[in-house]
Amino acid sequence: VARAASTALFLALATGCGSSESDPDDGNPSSPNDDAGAVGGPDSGGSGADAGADDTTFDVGFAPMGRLNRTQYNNTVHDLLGTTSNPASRFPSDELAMGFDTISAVLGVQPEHIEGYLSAAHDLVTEFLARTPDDPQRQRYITCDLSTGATCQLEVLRNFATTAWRRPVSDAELAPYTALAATGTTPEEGLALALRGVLSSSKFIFRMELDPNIDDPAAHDLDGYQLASRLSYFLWSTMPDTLLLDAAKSGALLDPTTLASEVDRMLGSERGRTLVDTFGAQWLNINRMQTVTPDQTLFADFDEPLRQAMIQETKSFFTDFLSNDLPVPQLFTADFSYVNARSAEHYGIKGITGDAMQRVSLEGTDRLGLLTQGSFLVSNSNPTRTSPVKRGLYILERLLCSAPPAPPAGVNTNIDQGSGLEDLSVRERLAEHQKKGETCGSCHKVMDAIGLGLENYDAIGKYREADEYGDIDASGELTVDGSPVAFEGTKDLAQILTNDPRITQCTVEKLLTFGLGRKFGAPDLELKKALANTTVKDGGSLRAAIKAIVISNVFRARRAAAQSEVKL
Amino acid sequence: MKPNSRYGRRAFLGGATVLIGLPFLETLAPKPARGQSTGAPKRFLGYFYPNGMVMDAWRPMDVDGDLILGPSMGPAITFDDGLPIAFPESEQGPGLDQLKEHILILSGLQNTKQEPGTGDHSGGVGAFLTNRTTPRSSDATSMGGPSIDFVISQAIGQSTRRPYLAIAGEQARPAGSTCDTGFSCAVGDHISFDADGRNLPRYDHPEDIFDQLFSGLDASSGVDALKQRWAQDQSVLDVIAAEAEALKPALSYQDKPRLEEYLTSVREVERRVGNLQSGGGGACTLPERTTTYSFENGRVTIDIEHELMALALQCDATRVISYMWGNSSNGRPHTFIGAPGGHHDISHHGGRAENLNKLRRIDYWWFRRFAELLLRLKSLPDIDGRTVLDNTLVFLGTDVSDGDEHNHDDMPVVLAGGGAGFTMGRHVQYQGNWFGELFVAIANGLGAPIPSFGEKGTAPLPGLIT
Repeated sequence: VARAASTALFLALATGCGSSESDPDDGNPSSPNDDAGAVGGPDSGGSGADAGADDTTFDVGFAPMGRLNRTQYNNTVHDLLGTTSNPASRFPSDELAMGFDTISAVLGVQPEHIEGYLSAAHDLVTEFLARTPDDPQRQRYITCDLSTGATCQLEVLRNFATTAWRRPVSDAELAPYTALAATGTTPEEGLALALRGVLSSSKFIFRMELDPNIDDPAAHDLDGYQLASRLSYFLWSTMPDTLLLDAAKSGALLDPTTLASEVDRMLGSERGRTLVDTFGAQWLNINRMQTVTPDQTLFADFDEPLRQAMIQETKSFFTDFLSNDLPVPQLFTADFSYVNARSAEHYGIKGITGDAMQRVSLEGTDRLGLLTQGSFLVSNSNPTRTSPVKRGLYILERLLCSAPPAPPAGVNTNIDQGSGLEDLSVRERLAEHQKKGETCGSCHKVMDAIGLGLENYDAIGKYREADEYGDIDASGELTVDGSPVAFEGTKDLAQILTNDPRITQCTVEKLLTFGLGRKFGAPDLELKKALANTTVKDGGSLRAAIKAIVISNVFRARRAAAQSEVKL
Repeated sequence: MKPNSRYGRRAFLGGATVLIGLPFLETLAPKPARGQSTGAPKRFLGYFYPNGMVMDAWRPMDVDGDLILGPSMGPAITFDDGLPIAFPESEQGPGLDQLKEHILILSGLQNTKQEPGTGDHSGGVGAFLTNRTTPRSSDATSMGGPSIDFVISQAIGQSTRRPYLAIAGEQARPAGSTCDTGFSCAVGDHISFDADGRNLPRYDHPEDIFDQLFSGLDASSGVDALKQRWAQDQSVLDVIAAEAEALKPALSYQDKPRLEEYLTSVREVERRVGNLQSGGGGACTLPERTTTYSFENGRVTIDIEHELMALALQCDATRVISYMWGNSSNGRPHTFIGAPGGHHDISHHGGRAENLNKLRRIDYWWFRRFAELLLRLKSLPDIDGRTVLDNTLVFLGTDVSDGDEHNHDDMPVVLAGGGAGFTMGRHVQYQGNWFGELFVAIANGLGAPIPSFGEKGTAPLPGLIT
């Protein structure tokens, strides 16, 4: 593990507490226990700093073809048919892996999915054909007089399937559908049946990327349409729009400069904020906040408007980073946030009125960055008390990609009622827990130190100087570059974290994972480092990371897996 | 509340044959079970109760003698437990004492868990119907094998509208939440799994459960329209199956298995739609499609869902159901019976009387509802002139035994109904026999001749038939 040039923090963690998250069974070449190597940050030195971008030396890897997840399905039929219905909301829920709902290895197709597709297709087509002849949405596909029969049916089917399948479609492919259309008692009824077929087809449900030769595992560039779909589902969670398809058709999209400018166009468009609710919400686990249940007897202050304000705060905060190209490490130290009257009162910020979220400066307050936001503080607490462990774990896992393994089997993790530790402060209880042996201590040393640095914020995110055990001690010590560095409270801690290069590399890793729907583990370390370097060089923003990824060969190329690489 | 069918009760007065005239019901009619020339189909209901039980209140107060039920399951009682809120009369109900000849209490059974260890909730959920060790990984998506309801459905559920249905009385945790330390919700929040160990889609909302079981069967949609719809679905399925089949050779090795899976599912749906089209004749009650409920009101939810399950079994919409009344480690409060606070929080009772008294109320309250479900099954006539309860085997259990201990031995288990041919009306004490052994016996009794099951089910559990 090359760590020499990096600012590797928390060496205690790196050496004594490896990640043990096992691979999903996704047939990709990563192996379990491989993340231990990823603990170092990107090289800050000169050598290899220009690797990345269009470097083509990285294994492009592979994953099973992706099925549209529920969000993607709904967005796609909105764009395809102009419907406002959300039929996929009644499909079986999508499994998450690595925190995201885009991981193709776990997006299976069970019989209940097929039933859902059939039923959705029936309802969508019925709604579509009920549109009046002068409706532009109908005219988009029905470009001829249906009563003329088979020729017009074929034309309409070609129009529709080309859009639905997101690529040019041959008449041979359409033959079974025209045959289906011919079974209708009227041309329109026949067309309806065929359209239902197009929407239930594997060519619609999957994002299929064909290889020229399945027995040649060499990487090859995607074609324009495949690239357009990858990009569109990554940034917008929907099918490509007309401009993207045009750029695919002309081949312009294959040019990295055009590709980068498409990223700018897409992020700047109305749909550019899709990433907030897809990638952002899943990465930062904002949705967890919807179901947390602080104990109502202890925290009568916590109510629904506060919950919603906290969710909106982090979403707005993330949107700010996305729209204004703020460097990602500032997630820890940003001196602004978003509040309304309800959350401002809770946070002790004066002079805010109304329900609308507004951007406020945090200067002179007790707060800064993501880690003093309610969505993080509350959803990583227990109902009755803070959980320094959960808070520390969140930061390691989600922001630094250095998750410790799950506690070993057989260890009693209870430090509350019934543990015999009830009378001790949380800090003392955790210290007792760490004494349970090296296996616990090595991981908890770092997790707990980070979490205890946030103890000035209670289980519902309110600032406090003392708890029921006495004055809060939010001091701690972390190992930075091999030397102990003491910190005193959250602001010090945030400074240490913002300087940790792992935050940028981790952001890259999370975006890669979300965008390409597979694990990026140890075999991809050099790729991640290179992309992180490019990101830092280009300002360290989410946009910079997205562009670095999209332009890399990992995004623009694919390869067939050798038969021996796929677990059957 | 008891949803009343617009047709059902009136129709029942005249007995089964009267219903032949109601076309929408033809499609639902039970057919003789496979391999049987006559008689009613067998059914299975796997019923999960979360967070363990207060064992001293659950445990029968006898050993292999007269069955005397503990206070949780027994006759209605008045609580004199010092809790500030009285247990309301409206939440009272029958005990299992009214169903004594239909139940079989099993104590001393154990289920698999992560070893070594004190055990855990998610581990107990994944293992509940699988008798397999739940993998401890936040990315786990497979239990490594099927649950017993799926196995039973393979044998006896193939001719019905749905071969199986996994439903729940509480909303599944949203994407991104953790189910228990180190466990993925994909295995830790489900009790039913297919042959590959992937969870079966779980339906939580009563209207979705209704649609899964009965959709399109409302008389207002018209039987002709329905038959036309099914025929159209079949023709669409034919096209997309042939297309996928032809595509296979062109797909790379990483993509082929996905398309195979798609094809397998398409064929399964073809089979199901085929079942729908070949309905026979018979009688059953159609429940109402309810959308006015809230998960916060546990009483309303449980009443609606119990009724849906009972009628689904009677209508032969499915023969195999798994039901999770709640998620393990859930935060559902039972304020309406004087037991506020999250169920899981309270289950870590720490031996404190206040917590234990709340838990006793919750267990007791829920057993009233369970008894009502069994009584409802007993009230429903089946096509063989017996009752639906007589042809059903209900397996009730939990994720852990004591909520504070988290132990997976000495589990509280109740069987109900005559479906598996067990000798009911007894309490049998075991010494550490496994859930897997019980599941082998249940499957065999219901017509699924399996020799072994799960990690520990090497033989059928003895002592169930005298």
